[in-house]
Amino acid sequence: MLIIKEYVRLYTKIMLNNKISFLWYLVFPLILFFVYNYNWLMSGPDAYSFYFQASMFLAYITFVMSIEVTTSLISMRENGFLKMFKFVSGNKYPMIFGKIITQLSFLTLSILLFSLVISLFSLSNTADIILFIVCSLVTSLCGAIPAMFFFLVLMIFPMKQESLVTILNMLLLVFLLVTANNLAHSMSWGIILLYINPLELVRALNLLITEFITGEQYDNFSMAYILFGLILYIIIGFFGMRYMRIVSSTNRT
Amino acid sequence: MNWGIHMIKIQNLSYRHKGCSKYHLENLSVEFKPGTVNVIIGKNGSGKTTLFDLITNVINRPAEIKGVPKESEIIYQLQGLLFPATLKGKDLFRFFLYTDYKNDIRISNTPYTDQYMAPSEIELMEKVWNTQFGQLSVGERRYLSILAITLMQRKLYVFDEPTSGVDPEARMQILQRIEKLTRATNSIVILSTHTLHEFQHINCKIHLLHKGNIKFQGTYTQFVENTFNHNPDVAFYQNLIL
Repeated sequence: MLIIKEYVRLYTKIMLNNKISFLWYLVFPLILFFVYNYNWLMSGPDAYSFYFQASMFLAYITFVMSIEVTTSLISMRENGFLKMFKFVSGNKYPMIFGKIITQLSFLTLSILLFSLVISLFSLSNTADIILFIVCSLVTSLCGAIPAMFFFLVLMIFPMKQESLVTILNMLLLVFLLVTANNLAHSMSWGIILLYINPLELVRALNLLITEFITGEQYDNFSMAYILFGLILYIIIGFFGMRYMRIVSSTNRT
Repeated sequence: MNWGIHMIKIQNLSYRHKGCSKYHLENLSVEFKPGTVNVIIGKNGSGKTTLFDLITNVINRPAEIKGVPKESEIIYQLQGLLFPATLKGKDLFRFFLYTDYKNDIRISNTPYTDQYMAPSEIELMEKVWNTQFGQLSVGERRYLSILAITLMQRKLYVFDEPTSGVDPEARMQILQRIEKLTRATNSIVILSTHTLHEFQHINCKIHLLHKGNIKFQGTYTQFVENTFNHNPDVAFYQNLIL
């Protein structure tokens, strides 16, 4: 545990050194949220619309912060860090768990700030604001853990960080469009989208937990489908973690 | 500590990377024993890092390599890792030690020193302890990380060019720390280098790797004995063209 703590310490310093990424995680979705829902600044939204719209943005933040576990680990693989510290720590797992814990901490902070800002502008009742913030934190953390594990499967492949980031940025756009337009619910084979689009799965989990907390009913997949997806993601993630490459095959270290 | 005498024995090893037609190592036979620093020299691209990767099982270790301790008993130092510029020398040192699964050394706010350090090393530690990583020279960074690694307890130490980009005084300090490993333990120490002059004062065995095979093996004195002024760089060149 002490070893993992030390990795968390280092990764936290690296994250704090890279403040620009916060724009990507936090400021960008905040701006987008207000651009899409500027009318809510004049007249407050109803609870259903607010939670439904917010779930999309919460899923986005969760998605981009979850994928960063893998992109950072790939970057560390490319510069030889994983290769060397696997020997120092005895195995690769402290480096991975350290990164996951660091990312979950920053995700908590981002979700807290995001939900606080949008609820302060959109909700009038303090109890509603607190409920929304709690709901956002619980749903995002529950969605992030399987997503972070799932993306580790990418480390089995010999790809560079730059290539992966480019591919993911393109995919993210597609995933966003698919999820924002509720295509998974309007097509007969929409269930496939739930499993191949992590953004969709995270959002579905978000709405599912929101239903439990608020009692509202949303147009969503059934709990069985969502749980199956999450278990599948975690199994794939453990497989990825077990067989991931720790040495770059594209770069000599 | 005493782990019993053991050695790494490689016999007739041939290896080429996937997709390469040319062998990086060809019928290589060599032994690495404890009690001396095993120095691998060779031109750039001669297969030194490939050999290290094979020994440490970073590339799946073939059966031709025998006597290697299990992975958890190996430490493999790489050159040029980057850390956040704001990290202080003491943070870097602490990070290396505290991520070592066998570590029992605790770090405080006062610079780490021990009885094996020369006054110049103690002075260096005092200088780098509170200096940010971004402000440290290559040599200072290298010294800190090698010092931390030599404090780790392993049966096999592999150093990939530990003295590259380092000034002569720091090179000597680094090599003396590495040499100490061969005296205090029965560990095997293997390192690669391109700078040979300092090895005159180090208990070492030189292995010259060229075209996938060992061209020379012997002590520093044997290596330079037939050269004018006993210059190791000339000896290196002469051995390659022989």
